[in-house]
Amino acid sequence: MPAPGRRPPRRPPAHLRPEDDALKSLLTLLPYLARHRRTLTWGAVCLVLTNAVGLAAPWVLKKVVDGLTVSVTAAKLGRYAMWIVAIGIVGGIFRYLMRSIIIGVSRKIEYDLRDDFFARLQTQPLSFYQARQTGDLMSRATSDMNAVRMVLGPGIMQGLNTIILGIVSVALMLYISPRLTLFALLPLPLLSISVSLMGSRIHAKFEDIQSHFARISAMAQENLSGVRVVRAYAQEEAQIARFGTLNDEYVEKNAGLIRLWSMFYPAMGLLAALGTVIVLWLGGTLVIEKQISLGEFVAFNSYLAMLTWPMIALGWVVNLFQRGAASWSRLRSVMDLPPAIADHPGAVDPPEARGALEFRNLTFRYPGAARDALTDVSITVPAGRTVAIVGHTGAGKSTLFQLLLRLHEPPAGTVFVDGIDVHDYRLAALRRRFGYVPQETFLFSTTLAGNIAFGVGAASNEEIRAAARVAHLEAEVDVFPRGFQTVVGERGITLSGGQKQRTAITRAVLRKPTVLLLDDCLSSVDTFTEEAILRELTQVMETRTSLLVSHRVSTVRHADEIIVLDDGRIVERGSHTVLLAAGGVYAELVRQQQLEEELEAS
Amino acid sequence: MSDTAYHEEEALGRAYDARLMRRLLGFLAPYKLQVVIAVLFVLAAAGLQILGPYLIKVAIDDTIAHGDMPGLARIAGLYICVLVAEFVVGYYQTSIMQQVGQRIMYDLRMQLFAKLQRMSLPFYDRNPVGRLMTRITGDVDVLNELFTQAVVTIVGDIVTLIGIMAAIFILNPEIASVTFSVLPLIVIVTLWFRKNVRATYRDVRTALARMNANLQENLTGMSTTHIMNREERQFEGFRAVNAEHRDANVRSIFYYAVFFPAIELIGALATGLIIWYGGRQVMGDALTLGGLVAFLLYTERFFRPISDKSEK
Repeated sequence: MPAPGRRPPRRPPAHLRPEDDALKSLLTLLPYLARHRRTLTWGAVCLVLTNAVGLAAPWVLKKVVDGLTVSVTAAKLGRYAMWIVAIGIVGGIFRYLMRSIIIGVSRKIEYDLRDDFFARLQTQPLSFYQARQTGDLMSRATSDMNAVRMVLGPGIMQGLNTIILGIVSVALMLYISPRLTLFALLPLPLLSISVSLMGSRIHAKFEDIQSHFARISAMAQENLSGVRVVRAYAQEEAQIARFGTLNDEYVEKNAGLIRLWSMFYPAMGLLAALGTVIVLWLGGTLVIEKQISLGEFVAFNSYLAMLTWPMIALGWVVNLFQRGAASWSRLRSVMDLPPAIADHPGAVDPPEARGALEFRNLTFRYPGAARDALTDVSITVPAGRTVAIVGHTGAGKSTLFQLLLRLHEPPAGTVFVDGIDVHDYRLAALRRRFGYVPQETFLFSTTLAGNIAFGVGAASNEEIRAAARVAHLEAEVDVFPRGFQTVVGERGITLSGGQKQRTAITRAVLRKPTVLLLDDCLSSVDTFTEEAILRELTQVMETRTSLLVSHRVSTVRHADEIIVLDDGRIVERGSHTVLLAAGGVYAELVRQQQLEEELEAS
Repeated sequence: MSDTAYHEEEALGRAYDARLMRRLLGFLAPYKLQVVIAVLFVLAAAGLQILGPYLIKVAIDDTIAHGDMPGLARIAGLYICVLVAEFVVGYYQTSIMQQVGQRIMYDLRMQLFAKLQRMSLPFYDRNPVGRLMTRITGDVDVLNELFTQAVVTIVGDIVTLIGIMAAIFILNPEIASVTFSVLPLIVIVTLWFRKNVRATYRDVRTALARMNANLQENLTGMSTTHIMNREERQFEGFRAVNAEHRDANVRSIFYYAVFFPAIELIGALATGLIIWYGGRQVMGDALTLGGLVAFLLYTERFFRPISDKSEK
């Protein structure tokens, strides 16, 4: 149960909310449980024994009290005392086993589930990640996963406990006095229902408050990120006032939750204790009327007390199952997705790689987009040649690369590598041919060496150094105290934009690819270094086929063919000299850059 | 990612730091009156809880034993009054403390925000926005929990337990001393539990932080993994941290699984002592039968809160 002002579990989307369907969907967890069938059976046995042993204790009390009202020997009292302790020992052992086994299994299933979840995420294409926020997927893998585990562990354990304890103690109470049982149990269902009702109302209020809290966070975040703007316009006081208003509203909203929350436990206590009063009054009367013994009266009270907690827990368990079911549905919405891009039957892994590329009348539209990203694009890159693509942002340059790598799925019969449709390759075989350096470099938080060897099984120091030399990275890395063993990323040092790009190039070079795909990946490196790197790059490659995108004329001018893309269409193509003479878009670009250079030089 | 998690952990650890606590108590100062009232309510709640078993003792000894039905009804009526009073007191106690907690969070957040508006710009270069946000949201939350939950529950539980002990001593000091000879056992078991759980809790938190960091990184860098044919090895990496998280959790189960049964066993020991020693007192007329029952009920109340929480 959440207390006011704590972090929220996310609200299930509306279509998942008929609780029945969601609860039924929990059944799909059965295969995971079945894997631990044998262990779970032992857990259940221990659970039954724990309760059976525990239920014997009040019966001993009955013997004690009845013995004392009539006649009893000190030796007998001693034996009763031993019985109680023995029950404590045996019950304790079973309780220990029950908990270790059932909760342990729940952790193991949680692990299995998370592994499966991760494996499934790995098969999802780029478009999946573009449509979702990392934070959303993270919360599924953590808080939703935890909600499901709560069902599998504490939920199942407490649920079974309640059922067994309930059935047996009610049976024993009925044995003592059916009439007393009937009256004593009257408040208990009320208890369960009110726990469940208040629990879900508290939960709903809580989420409402959390969404308000999200507004406070957003405002603070905006303020802190824009601190310079705030200062520039002297908005500090106004910002404090706005923050104050939001906070006032938050406190007000919380007042409602506090009222509910404050009532929760006292109300449970009240309802739970009503049964005790009924037993005191009615049970006492029965003792006076000699219908039950005083010992039975005491034992009855004990059984009632034993029942109370499971009934409170029952409400809790119901909420647990509801929340777990909603979370499981959310997890399934990812885990049930088929891998959108996978090997087709009969996919090949041809041993020979020459490095010829072809786009044949390629028209491509992103799923759900209103317009084509590429229209009727045909490009041929013979093995060993260099083709450069220029064009504005959004002209479709990166899309070409992503289709070649099947990060997005191109239409059949449009993209070919060495004359074979990319669809007919095994995915791994296709991608192994390429050294792709994307626009945005992503480095994992491990050592530089680890990042560089990311795309190969293993690499020797010498291989890593050689690759780094090509990318003009080696000298700079040697300056770091730990050299290539320097950790980068969040836990390590921060590399400059240029260093990151060159790390990405080193990573691609080390793969010894057949084809090099450079997607404007030297933008943070100066022109001189860029040219040097490009020159060396093509020398180390097996076939020297490369496809590159750049904004700089200096980069593309030596390409065998330059393609000018605009709005998904090829508007010009030819060599540097030809295009320059044609006086079109490319010539304009060249003129602009020359102007800029002259301005910078002067 | 992992970094911020470690920071949070640090914050948690520091929140319990004694010197910091004293400074934090300063935030309570404006709400002295409310806090005093809340404490009074805590005391009242404990007192009312102690009345229940005593009423049952009176019912057994003074009414049931003499066949006094109207008297029994009177005591049942009185019992209901006690329950209603308990409800009211419980409500106000929680509600006042929660409100104070909210006000303190409000004050803290406003002070923090106002202070940040006056910090120099280089300060912002040194402190990423994410970390500052953690201070405003997460850390303030931790403090609120400390005030409203930990303080109230712990104080409430301690007062109740002391109240029960006092009641038992007044009822019959001799049996009370015998019963509470088990107290050192509780202390030993609890200390053992606390020490180990704290250590495993840290392990679990660290494992969780590492797993989350790994996951976050893999999600963000998924296409890099794809184009580099690195799926299997990244999966292996994730499996390893996932397994570490699982194992840390499984290790922590042991301490919980031992602690609660152990406490219950100590409870059984106390009950056994009452039956053996108290029973003989009843035989020698040094204790009434109702007194013995009250003893058993008090012991149950003493131990039940601990074992009840065990399944959660």
